[in-house]
Amino acid sequence: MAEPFNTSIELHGEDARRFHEYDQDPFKFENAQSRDAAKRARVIAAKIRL
Amino acid sequence: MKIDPSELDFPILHDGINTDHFVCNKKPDSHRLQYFFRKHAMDNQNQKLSVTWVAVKKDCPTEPLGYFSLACASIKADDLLEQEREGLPPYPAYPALLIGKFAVHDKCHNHGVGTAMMEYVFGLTIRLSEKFGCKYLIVESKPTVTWFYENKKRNFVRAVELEGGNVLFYKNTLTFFQ
Repeated sequence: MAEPFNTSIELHGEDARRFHEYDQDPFKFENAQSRDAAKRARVIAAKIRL
Repeated sequence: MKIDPSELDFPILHDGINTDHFVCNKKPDSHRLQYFFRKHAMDNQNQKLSVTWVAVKKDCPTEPLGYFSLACASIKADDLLEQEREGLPPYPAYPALLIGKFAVHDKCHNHGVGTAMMEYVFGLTIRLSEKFGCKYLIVESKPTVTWFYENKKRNFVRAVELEGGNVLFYKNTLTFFQ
């Protein structure tokens, strides 16, 4: 399994800009039903103790 | 008959659960899920390879209605859709929580147990991602049950077809916080 963190990477220019816009649109696939499911999951999560 | 999710509990597998009472062999290949639960789930848990969570009714806490096994994993950047990679730092892979096994007792199909289990997985993913890096929830689905993960409620993203025909799905953890 691949190592997920490569700490030797330095971000410059375009990559740095993209990193800072990282969460600009992670929700493009979402819909009303999945948002409702996420809402229920947040209620469930609040009751889970880790 | 639908089971109200509030009637269910999701303990981690323990010796008090009657694993031998779990039946899952109606569909092609599903007997493997039955076999894993009965024979290997506890061993895997003791070996820290995966942790198995069991769906039980609160008034019958030893009888398994379904289960899922979770483990730490990662997803290769190459397996993400191109638009998903946009804006991500260029790591070769990203941290993920893997649903290794997911099964419902044959007597409980279409009773809402699978939906309740998956929403509990989402809840666990939320809690986990608050404490540790966990960018994606991933699952390798058999081709016959991809409909379950692509259902609008679950809304996993189809990534790639794997050797053997299974399909890798992922779900961005940030979607749970929307």
